[in-house]
Amino acid sequence: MEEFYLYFPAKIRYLHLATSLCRELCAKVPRKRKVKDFVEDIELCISEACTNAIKYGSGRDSGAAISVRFHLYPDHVIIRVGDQGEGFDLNNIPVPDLEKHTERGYGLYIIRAKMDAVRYVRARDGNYLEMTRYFDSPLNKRSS
Amino acid sequence: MEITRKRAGRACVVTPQVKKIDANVAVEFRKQLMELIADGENRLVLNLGEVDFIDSSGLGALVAVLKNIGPEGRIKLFAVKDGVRSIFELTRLDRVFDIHISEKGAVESMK
Repeated sequence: MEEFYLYFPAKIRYLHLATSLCRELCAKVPRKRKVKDFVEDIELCISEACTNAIKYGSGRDSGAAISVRFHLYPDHVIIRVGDQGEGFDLNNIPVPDLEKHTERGYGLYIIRAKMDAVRYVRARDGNYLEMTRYFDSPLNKRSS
Repeated sequence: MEITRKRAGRACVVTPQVKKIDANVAVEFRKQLMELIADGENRLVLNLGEVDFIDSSGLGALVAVLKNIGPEGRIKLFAVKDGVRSIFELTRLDRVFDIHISEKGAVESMK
């Protein structure tokens, strides 16, 4: 397993740091079965998770920070996006009513749809959203 | 964030000159489109040909603009790349934003 770690101020203007890093890392995955969907989906979920962490997970603390841990395994990746907020219960986040075409609430819905496993962990040293995606996931629909 | 615009009949064709519409640009994107509506444009054709990536912040901005455009207003999209289109489909927003292949098709659908 290889691990990469990014730690940055909880400000939207640094969002691209996280998405760019993950895109670069995914591009280096030496897998024949890796497809375009995989990279795009990882980038999307990183963007959603970091945006949520910045907006809702850093409270009013102007010095808050976001951490992104990228764990690269032979057959899957695990990404943990950590925040410094009070945390939340993933099971209490409602699925958006897709018939009402709302302005908000799509972030976690998209993450759940694009990842093989998602969980939110409340820990003494910080909360994090953990996202797992397998290289040969059935979520890969389009070839590269 | 830069957007270019041109007139095509009754429609205003808007092209965001960005690769990503995420939380970093969504507020400005929404603001610029709202300004067009405030200026009287209520038939917007969005060229997403430059856009490789959109997330829920970008979608939220578009929904907000759609809700503000009024009962006579319309928003059509064209040149939507596969990855971007898949997000519209996942959130079922492809049902409210009419997606066309070409500018001509999008503009003509306004008539």
